[in-house]
Amino acid sequence: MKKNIVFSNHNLVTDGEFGEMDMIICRNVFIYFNRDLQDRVFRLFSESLRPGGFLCLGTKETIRFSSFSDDFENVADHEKIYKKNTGEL
Amino acid sequence: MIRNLQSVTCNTYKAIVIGASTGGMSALKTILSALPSNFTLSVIIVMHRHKDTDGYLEQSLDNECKIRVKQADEKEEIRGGVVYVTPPNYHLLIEDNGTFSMSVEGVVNYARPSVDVVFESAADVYGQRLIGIILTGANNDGSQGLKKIKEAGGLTIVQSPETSEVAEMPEAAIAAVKPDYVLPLENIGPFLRKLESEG
Repeated sequence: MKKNIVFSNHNLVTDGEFGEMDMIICRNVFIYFNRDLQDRVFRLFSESLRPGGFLCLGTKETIRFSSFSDDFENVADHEKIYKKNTGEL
Repeated sequence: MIRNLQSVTCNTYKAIVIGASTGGMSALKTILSALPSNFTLSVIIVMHRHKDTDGYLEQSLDNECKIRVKQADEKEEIRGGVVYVTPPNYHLLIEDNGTFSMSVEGVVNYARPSVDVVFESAADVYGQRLIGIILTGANNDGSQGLKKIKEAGGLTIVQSPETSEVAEMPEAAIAAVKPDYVLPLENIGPFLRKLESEG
């Protein structure tokens, strides 16, 4: 299984978008960031997800108060799973 | 001089931190049901509980008490008249700007959240404007934190061991700190109201 996985370093603070992902799981990292850095990383994740892709956060993390909450819909509020909007009206 | 300063400012308590473990649910209910909805201080509760627990504790307390009870949220601004409960499986820290932050650092005293962590962080921010309370429980978490509160000039209260469902945590706190007050459970809520109204 390991040979089908690409492992790679990515610096959330300095690096740019990293592809068109179906799902990004990032738990208990945002809690250590201030609002500005949180916003930067939410933008990064939004740009790195394909439309309809999923973002999974830790239980005490939320995209609700960031500038990018409109880019996502709530799939499972308690589990903190968000789905990126497809952009269709 | 320091004494004078304390007597001048002791009427301006801003926050109360409460640490509880085994038996804490009913003890908290007794204390919080004595507080009015327009209570002016912030109340922060550290309760040891299972990491996968849902929000039953805060929901049940909110239903049964006049004062609002909720789980603390990340970066939430700490307000008066609200009781904040630490989320399970996170350490809670209080920032200088009056907001909460969370951490998933390792357990302290076998616990996350740990009472010591919250108390020490609160003592740093609120200093002598803080009231620290240790309730029933079966370990010694909170003793060091209560000591920090006392050293920072805050007021320290311990539930009397005779009225505690499990006496170990109050006994450890009494041994580690010479608390300002050791009170029977029933008296703690009314005493907090008295401290508030004197301010």
